[in-house]
Amino acid sequence: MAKVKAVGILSRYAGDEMEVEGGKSVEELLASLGIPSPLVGIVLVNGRQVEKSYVIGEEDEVKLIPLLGGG
Amino acid sequence: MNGYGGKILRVNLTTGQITKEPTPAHVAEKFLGGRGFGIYFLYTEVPKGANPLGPENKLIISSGPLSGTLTPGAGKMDFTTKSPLTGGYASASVGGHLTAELKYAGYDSIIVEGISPKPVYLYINDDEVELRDASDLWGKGAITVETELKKRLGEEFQIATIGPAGENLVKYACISHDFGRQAGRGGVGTVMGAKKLKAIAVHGTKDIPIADPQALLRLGTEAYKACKASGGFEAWVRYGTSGVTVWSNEVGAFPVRNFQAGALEDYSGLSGETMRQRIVITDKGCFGCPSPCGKYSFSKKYNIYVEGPEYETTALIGGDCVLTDIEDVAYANWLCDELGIDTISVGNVMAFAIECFEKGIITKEDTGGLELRWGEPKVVFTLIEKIARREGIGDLLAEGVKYASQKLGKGSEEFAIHVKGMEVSGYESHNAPAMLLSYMTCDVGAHHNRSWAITYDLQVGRDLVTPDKAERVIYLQHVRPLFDCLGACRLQWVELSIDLGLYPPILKAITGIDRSWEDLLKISERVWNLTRMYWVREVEGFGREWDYPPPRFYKEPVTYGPTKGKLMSWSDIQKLLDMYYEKRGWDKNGIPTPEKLAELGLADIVK
Repeated sequence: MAKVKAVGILSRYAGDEMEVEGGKSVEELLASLGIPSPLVGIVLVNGRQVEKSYVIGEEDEVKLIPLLGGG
Repeated sequence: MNGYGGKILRVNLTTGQITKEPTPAHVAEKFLGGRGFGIYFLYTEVPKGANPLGPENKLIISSGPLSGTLTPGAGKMDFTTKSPLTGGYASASVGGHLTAELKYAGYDSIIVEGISPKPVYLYINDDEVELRDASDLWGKGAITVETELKKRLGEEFQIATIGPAGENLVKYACISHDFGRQAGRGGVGTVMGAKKLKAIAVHGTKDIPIADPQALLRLGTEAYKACKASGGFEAWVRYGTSGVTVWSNEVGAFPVRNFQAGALEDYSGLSGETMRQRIVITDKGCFGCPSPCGKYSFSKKYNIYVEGPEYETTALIGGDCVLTDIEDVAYANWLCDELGIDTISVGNVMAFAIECFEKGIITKEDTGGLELRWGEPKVVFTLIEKIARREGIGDLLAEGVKYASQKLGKGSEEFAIHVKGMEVSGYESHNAPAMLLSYMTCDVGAHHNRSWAITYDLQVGRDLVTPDKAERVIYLQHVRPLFDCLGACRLQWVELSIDLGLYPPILKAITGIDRSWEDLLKISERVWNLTRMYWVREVEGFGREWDYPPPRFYKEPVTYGPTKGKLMSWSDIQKLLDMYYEKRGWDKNGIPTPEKLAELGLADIVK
């Protein structure tokens, strides 16, 4: 199982941490969690930035970081 | 003149003379309002070399053409002056309800001149304007005075005031309004204190002339609907800027231990959700705001009500001084609000002092026996009080990190975290070239509000030093401050992503003047270049080296967090500046060329 962590405001949609099966793209994961894709600014997999088309592997640690405009 | 109050209120505190002048149409055309008016009047009226705390300096307080109208977030007021902190240009904005009230009284700007022989406050009730004795308010806290003046004059009056820090000429004193909002940076409150002007109270009942009210009603309603329909609306209103705290720690942008680290080991006690659950009692919005980001809080631990803490306060007092309990940060926030002191600068200054103590540069003899340690709430509370009252070590720290480090020496300049004398705000930038360039080139010193480019760094790559980063910074430096010319809040665009294309038609409906978005950006570029020329005029030898970042960012790698081990290289800093100056049409020393000034219609003003 891959670990998914939704940071900050995104945890409102997905909880702080969850486990998902691999094989889906990040975009598909967002859709299944009901997270609007434009809200997600950065996707980190095992600490490295990836595109939303990236297919999640079973051992991956995925971190979803929201896009913010800043103060 | 459609969209404007129509008059400039000029108040000479030395003589007590009060005059009303028509708002000059040619200035409105070239500079719009707000910070545009501010720099125009500062540049053309305050003589070269004026002492920021002397009678020649002026405090210019301006609304903009959108202020007080049916536009989302149309409640921003600009305060411009010569900065006592940096010796250059200062402009700070505040939300709340002041700007709308001033326009309803019929004024676009207040220009405060001279120095009063005794403490006064400025009373404005439509056409009735007078200076009133404030001897009994002098020495009192900002929130106390706001409460007192509302009791005396009526709830309908909007109040701006300074606390003891402004009176004591702390170089980063702020101007407070609406029980917890501040024009925070650059020492605008210090200038009020030097002028012996304790407060401004405004009430207005007039209409703002609108060119096409039906169009404004339609377009304004559309813009409000767009805000509420935004995907980010719910989260933004739930957390306000405190939603940034977790994000900032996760990406390594949170300043910790005087910008040595980019995240706290445990930030859960400071997160937006912790704050919401533990201390927030209600949302609080400014004039005309569809998305109230202000969080009004109550701390049981300290028995105080406070607006905030905002992200910046949590970053500089929570992260940088390592206070990890939101209630401790909330109390420090309340102290700063009441004493009238900028939480960003003071947090940065305290972190500097703690590091000096750690390195033996400041000792117990200097601090009156106080041991300055990270993560000690009492150290933070005591230092804030000492600084605001200029007691003991507070007298030196009240000057800001640049001056304090020059005075202390012993290598402390290497970790004095400022640009141009202004302390860096809440984004650790060892590994964020566009954000670092934003700080380096910001026109008031190191502040994030002109360009917040760290998401761009994250999106395109944090290690990249490429021309698009300079382009992005320049674009943001024109768009974001444009809102401060218009007299409206940028957060509906920044946080809720409403279409920027909504604004030109709204402005046209208000003023009757057709301007494209590009026309407006050109005005903002004109303002930016005039603020740069103000630095050139006021600071001897001003140029490239004034844009250099604090040495820590290119000499010492990050000690903890996702960017651990990262730092900028000196050659990349030079490269960033070369790219930036070239794209701006400035020379290698960072000075706008005569051709650029002529292109922007500034040749007559900058002689």
